[in-house]
Amino acid sequence: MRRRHFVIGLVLVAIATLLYLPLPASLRLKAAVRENIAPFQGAVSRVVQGFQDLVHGLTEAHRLREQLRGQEEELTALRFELRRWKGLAAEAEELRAQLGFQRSSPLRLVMCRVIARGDATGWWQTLRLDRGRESAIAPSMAVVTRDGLVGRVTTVSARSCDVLLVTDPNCRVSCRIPRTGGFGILEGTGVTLHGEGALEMLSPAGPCRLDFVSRDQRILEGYEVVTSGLGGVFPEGLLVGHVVRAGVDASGLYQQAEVRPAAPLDLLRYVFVVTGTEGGAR
Amino acid sequence: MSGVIMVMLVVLAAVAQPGLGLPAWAGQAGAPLLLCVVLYYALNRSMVQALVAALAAGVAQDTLSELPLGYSCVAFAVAAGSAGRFRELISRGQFMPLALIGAAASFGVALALGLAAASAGPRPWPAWLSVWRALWAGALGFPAFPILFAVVSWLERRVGAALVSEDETGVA
Repeated sequence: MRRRHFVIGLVLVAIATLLYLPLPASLRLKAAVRENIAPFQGAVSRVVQGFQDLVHGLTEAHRLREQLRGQEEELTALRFELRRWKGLAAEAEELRAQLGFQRSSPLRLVMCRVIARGDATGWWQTLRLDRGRESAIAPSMAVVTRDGLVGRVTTVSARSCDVLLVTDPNCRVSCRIPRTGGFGILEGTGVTLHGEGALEMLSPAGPCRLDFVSRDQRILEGYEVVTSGLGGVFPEGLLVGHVVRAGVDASGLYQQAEVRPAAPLDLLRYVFVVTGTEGGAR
Repeated sequence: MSGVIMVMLVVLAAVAQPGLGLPAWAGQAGAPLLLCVVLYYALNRSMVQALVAALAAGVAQDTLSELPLGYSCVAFAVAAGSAGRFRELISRGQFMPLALIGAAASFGVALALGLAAASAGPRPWPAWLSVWRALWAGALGFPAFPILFAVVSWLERRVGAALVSEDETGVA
């Protein structure tokens, strides 16, 4: 009983002390207690906030779902639009480069768009272009890009023409290796660079073969191969490709070189038909 | 164990109380959770424990408010003493008696603190606002005390904190 009275008295004294505590001491005590309670308040605040967010999420779920669906549709449309713009930008860049090539070239060039690849049977490696006789295009004209020779025109209609690629076995081009001065006949092998079958006709076929090169020439990998101008079909000096490897042919009389076309034949979108040279007919 | 539970209850009530207030038109009255803890100890434990709870809860409330230190301690101690004095007349297993005690104590404590703060505090406000706020505090105390009573009883049973005997409470 005495202990109980003692504790009660102690509590009452403590309360009285608190009431008459000097202000600075009171503020210090308040600050100390607040410091210890603050972490708990923060934790409770986070829990309450999480609960409020949960309730808000549940009540707003339908509206949010609708909003999300709308935004997904919008995102899809925007992605599609972005892809379209990227494609247009790439095309514009390519056109700008091609036009620069057209202006700087001494050749008279007619720019054409590739509208089809490969012939209907799959036996020939061809392109179909959107220009024809009305654009002064005629059979046997050379077809080039700023990267190099593509092939030659075979058949022409009023508003389209077909091009036989240099990689087709039926295409033969008189060529020269500027570093050595040697001549040869370039012929397509009809085999892709990757050794794949002819169904993938435009993956460029592959290395072309340069025959009848003199054995006296020392041909190294990477040497350029250009048109010689002999034969009158292809203007002189058009880059055809680069030597991949060279060796003596089966007869032992000549050298033979494998040539990789310089133009990206499987990626062509725009090409030029050479209709003549500046200041003269072809 | 009971001391630990008391501290835990006071801390929990102190951190939860500010978040359970009413809007401005209701005088921004807060749920009287700390007072309910004190009342719980007054009805179930010895007067000593009730006064210790009043001291701890009062310090916590004054610390987390602009009230001068000690005001809430006095108010809680008076409430604890009053409740403890009539504890044998109260049926602790029923909702309504506990609710009425909670409402009455909340009203009384809120009114006393409001008037005291209005006269001594840095921001005096009209007396009618103290009464208005006290009414709303009483309204909050009505459901708060029975709920807290049930929760704390359950908690104490779970942790095995047995109630003290009648002799120890000092109540004949």
